[in-house]
Amino acid sequence: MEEKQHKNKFYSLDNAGFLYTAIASSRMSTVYRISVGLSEPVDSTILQKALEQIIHRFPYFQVTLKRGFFWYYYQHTEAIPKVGEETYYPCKTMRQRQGKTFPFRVLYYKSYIHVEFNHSICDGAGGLVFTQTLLIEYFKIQKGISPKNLGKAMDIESEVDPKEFEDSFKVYYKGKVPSPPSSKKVFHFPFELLDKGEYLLLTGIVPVDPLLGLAKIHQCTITQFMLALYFESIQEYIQGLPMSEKKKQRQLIAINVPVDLRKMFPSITLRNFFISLNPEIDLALGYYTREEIIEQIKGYMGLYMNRKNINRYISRNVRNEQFIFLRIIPLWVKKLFMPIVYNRFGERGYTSGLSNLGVVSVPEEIKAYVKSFEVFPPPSAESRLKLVMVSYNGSLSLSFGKTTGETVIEKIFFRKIRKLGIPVKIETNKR
Amino acid sequence: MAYCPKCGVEVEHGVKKCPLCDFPIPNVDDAYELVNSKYPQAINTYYQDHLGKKNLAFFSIGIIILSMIVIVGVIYMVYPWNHELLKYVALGLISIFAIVFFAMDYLKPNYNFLGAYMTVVITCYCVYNISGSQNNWFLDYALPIATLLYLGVSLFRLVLKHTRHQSKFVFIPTNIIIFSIVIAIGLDGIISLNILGNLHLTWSLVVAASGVCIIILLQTIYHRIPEKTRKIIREKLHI
Repeated sequence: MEEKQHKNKFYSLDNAGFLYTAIASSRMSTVYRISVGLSEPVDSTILQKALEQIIHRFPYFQVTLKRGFFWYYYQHTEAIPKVGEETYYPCKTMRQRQGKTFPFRVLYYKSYIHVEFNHSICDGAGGLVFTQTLLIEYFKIQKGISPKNLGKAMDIESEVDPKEFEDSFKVYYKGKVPSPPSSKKVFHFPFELLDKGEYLLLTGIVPVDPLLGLAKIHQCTITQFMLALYFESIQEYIQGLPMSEKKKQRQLIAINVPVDLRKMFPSITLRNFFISLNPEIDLALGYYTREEIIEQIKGYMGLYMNRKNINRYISRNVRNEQFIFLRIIPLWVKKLFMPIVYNRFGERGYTSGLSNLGVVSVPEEIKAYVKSFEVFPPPSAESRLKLVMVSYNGSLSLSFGKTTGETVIEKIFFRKIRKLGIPVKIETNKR
Repeated sequence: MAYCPKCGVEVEHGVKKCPLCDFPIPNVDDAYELVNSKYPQAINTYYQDHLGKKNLAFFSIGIIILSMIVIVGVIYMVYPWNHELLKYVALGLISIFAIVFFAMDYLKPNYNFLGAYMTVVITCYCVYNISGSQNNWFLDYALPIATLLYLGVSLFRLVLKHTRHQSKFVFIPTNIIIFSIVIAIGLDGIISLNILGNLHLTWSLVVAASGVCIIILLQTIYHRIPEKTRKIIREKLHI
């Protein structure tokens, strides 16, 4: 009965999804990747079986993108997604607009499972729930393990809760809240872009405990500490640039930090539900020490990371979406202008992005078989280097996704971590 | 375990150089890299995907144009009706086809641009022949103006290529103004040569003078006046 309800069901895109489908291009695929390292090589037949078992529990992911007159929308499909061996560059464009593919793909290579999601269907938190469920099912078939405590993963026998696919932006939207101030133009990396279709990944794996200790000494969170190191690295890079001191001091560095709103609002949605804050340091005020950057970030987060302020962002975004004159513009016109508007007003406001997906865990019973978790950001032309951090089993993966071949920022960043006496292991797909 | 001696980071076993600083790392086992690398040798499908879409568009346009040429040909043979007009239509269609081909970027950019220029010149020459005009407008105006535009745009592209990483809002307007000045002087020159018989620049000098002023203003805003000049201005103009 429940399954029948989802057949031919139409899913309107969520607030962030509208933007992602409109701005997607061959360079900005809006696809992010969750990688899981296993202790043994992946069995593709079992992975396919596991995917087939769980997909019915996620009817809102078993969809294809359709073209409406005013907006795109997702429609349920009876087709079953197929797993594939990794052969192409990561986060490759999904030919969604042609209505040919699912908004996600499951890949494998040796002992790694990669699940790539289009950001228009879900954010990192939603993607992790799907990946964890897939992992549990994989080991259930392969090893006959049925964990008692599923953690954040879904029980595939349970009923689908409509709240899992609600657009929480609209649910928690409050009208008549003034918009936040608009962003200023900030420093962008002047690196040469890679060829279209290419995307480089670079991960630094570090132990969590010493970093936690350092964060404790500075009385901040681990995200704030890593953010400070990232700011410091970009500042050091600018200091070393061959430009006049006056020009250097005109630079403003801002880093886009997505905030998972499920921690602030009682939402269980698996679709997008996040807002980005933009902490910044202005070099016109002089160069910052690490302590000063940490104080600046703590002050910023204290001031802006609260429900009242977040409401301003939600309200602005939903108001823009519901603005009648924008809604009645035909889709092909929106598709023409949205990338320009996004490049002009969206990405000009931050130098890079740092997203922390927090601590990922898997049930105790399968922990021995799951070696690592990594999450990579979607590629972007303006913000050529972005960072995602996720910790699993005492290790923190600092994963850079890059549309440039330069490694100067990562070099400064990881050398800083090494100078703190913390070991770093580097992995990359660059040949 | 392998380490980069410069960065101090651990790297994957078998890698030849540090992923951060490119410092060479002695490789003990060449085969290890191929077998144990975490990522496969990735294939970029962008050009293949892009070429597929491009071919589809080009062949669709090609078929439409070809069909229209056939229709025009049949009309030309069957009906003895205004042959001159039909020749213009056929010429227009062939020119559009050639321009679409060069715009589709199948060749190198320079060849495409040269091809588009040649198409324009040949089309003008054919129009000149079909019309059987008495005055020599093709050699006097069409060829020099097309050549001027070709050289002007080539210059513009060259300058833009070398300044593309600079501030967009200063360098692009500057380049457009330089381009306009070159074109204005060229046009003025061609017109004066044909009408007066000698080079006599008039309105283009006004365009050039105003353009240069705007460029100086833009560049001054961008680079700011040097401290030394500012000091002189401060001293000389102090009240």
